[in-house]
Amino acid sequence: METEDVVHVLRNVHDAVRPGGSILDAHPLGIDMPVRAGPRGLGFIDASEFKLVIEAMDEAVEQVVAEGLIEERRVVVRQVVERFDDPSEALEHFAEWENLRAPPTLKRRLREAHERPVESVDTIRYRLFRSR
Amino acid sequence: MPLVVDPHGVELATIRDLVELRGRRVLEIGCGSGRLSFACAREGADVFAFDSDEEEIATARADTPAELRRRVRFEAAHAREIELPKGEFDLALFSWSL
Repeated sequence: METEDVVHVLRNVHDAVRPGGSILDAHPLGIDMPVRAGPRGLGFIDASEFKLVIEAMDEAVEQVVAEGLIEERRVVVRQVVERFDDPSEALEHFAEWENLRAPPTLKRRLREAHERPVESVDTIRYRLFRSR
Repeated sequence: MPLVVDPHGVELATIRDLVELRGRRVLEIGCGSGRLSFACAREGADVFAFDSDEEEIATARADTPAELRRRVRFEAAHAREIELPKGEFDLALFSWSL
């Protein structure tokens, strides 16, 4: 979703939720993501570009909060694993991501890794809003 | 074996901690292939889920377990353009989509 769409979409979704209902936004925080093969750490996915996107999205959400349509009730942060069968599958998947970058050193370590499975760890923020 | 997102079930446990799902009408935005849609439906929610990726929606429909077919409905649509019924849902869930 484009940044400029967020306000429009949130207003639309707000209207679809009954007054007093809930809106739960779950998304990655844009923190560099550790990658491991079996028990061995290989490095981090660079999320610095993605962090800028998240910050822009947060500003849009704050606009809707300021309009009084929704109010924040709780925030929790959890770590969620993405598990790949082998390094080639992980490399293929990482290449498809927008705004996330696997540094050359991480790619090399992945190509040389023999341990299974390969896992990356996302830091996810869950923001619960009450619809007004 | 394909990519497995959240093999430890952290997401559903977190959602369950934050909101009641049983008997709730849930709108899911950016449902992908239905990973969380199915999880919410198994918890007893009635789920309307959409995503702009038609291939993902086709996968979600094909993968819907028979026992959940009455509880979950998928549609290919963009969040900018979809027309939603007013005041229809108890919970809207943005799944890594905002």
